[in-house]
This record gives sequence, structure tokens and C-alpha cells, in this order.
Amino acid sequence: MSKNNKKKIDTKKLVIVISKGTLDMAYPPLILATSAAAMGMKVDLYFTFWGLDLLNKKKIDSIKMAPVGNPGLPMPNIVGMIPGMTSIVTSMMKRSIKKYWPTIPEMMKSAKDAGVRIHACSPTMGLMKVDEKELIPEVNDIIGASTYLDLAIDADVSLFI
Amino acid sequence: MTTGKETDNTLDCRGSLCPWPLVKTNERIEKMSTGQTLEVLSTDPAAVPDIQAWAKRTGNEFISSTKEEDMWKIYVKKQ
Repeated sequence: MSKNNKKKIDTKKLVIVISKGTLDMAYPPLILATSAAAMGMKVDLYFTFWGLDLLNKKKIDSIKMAPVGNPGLPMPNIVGMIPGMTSIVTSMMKRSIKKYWPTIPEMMKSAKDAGVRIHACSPTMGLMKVDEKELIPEVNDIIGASTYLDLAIDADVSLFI
Repeated sequence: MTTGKETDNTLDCRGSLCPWPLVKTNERIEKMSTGQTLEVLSTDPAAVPDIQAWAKRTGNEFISSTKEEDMWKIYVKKQ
């Protein structure tokens, strides 16, 4: 092999805002984050609004799938409104997911192990009355909008989910 | 997740989907020495383009891929 192949590649940066706390909105950013870290990118995830549920010790194990307002599901919305449908749809979705991916807490841990930085949104914590002690240990820090913007300004890829 | 037999130079990712073929390939390559070749077995159609993109971005070498029925054999060399 020639030495030329071993060129140093600039580190690219990915920043994702995660604003939703449902299964279908949690997997895509975590999949992108772990892939990006494997590709040598620096990754920052900013969890805001319902995205903060994914960092909440009490909620991370029970992230659900919404059966209403999701026309992609094989049922009319009116059926989704029946009490108990959220847990039925969630367990159906979890069964399918289990074949291919780890759970949300496991995904969060592998992202963290791969060097992904995990930020909790300070105003959301205030709004939703979440204390720092209630956050999962993978959280690096609690930041606000300007810190996020500072990260995003330098990012090569910036997404809002 | 990863199943089946594996050797030092083979990574069996059959049955697992994106991002695992890529993430596992990266983990394995990190432990290998420069110049060594890794064979990745995958049934995920995204594995070939994903590992090509990964190789381009990490500076490793994508050697080739072959398809056998529903499985791809992908060869990458650590740089």
C-alpha cells in the first residue's frame, strides 16, 4: 500500500436537534448519529421539547408510538383514538424493531460509546420540570439555544427532527 | 444483530440492518493492523453503498463487493 492512501481527512461535523419523543422520531437521529460517529464525524445531539423524554430516566424505557395523526399506520385515525391503542401500536412497533435494532436506551449508550455528545436543552428542563438528577448518565451537559447555535454554525450537516 | 460464525478476517452481519454493518465494520477495522483485509457478510442492500461512503470518509480502502443470492460479500482494507 502507498503512503498516499493514508491521507488525513478533515473531521466533519453533524448536529441534530431532536424535538420529538416518539419511537419513530427517536430511531432516525440515533441511527444517523452512530453512523456518523463510525464515519469519523464529530456528532452533537441536542434534545429539546419532547426529545428530552429520551434523556429522562423515568421515560426512556417507555417511549411510545403515536397511533393518531400518523397516516402511515395500517389503521384509520379514528381507530387509533380508541383507549389502549397507543400501547398496542407501540408493542407492535417494538416487536418489529427488535429484529433489527437495539432498544432506545441501548442505542443511546452505543452512540455515547462511539463518542457522540449528548446535550439536554435547559429551557425545556425548566418548562417540563425535569431535574438534572432525572437525566440518564449519557448526558454530557445542559445547554441553551446559543450553545446549540455555536455548534450548528460550524456543522457540515445540521438537522431538525 | 450480528449472528453466526466469525473469523479474524470475517465479520458476519447477515440479518442486521443499517447502521450495524457499518458500525461493526468500523469497530473491527479499528482493531486491525494497516494493510489487513476484512470480509463483511451482509444481507442489507444498503451495506455496499454505506461501507463505500464510510471508506471514502475514513480513508480506508473499499476493495470490492460480490453478491451471492441474497448476501453481499464486501472486502475492505485497513489504511
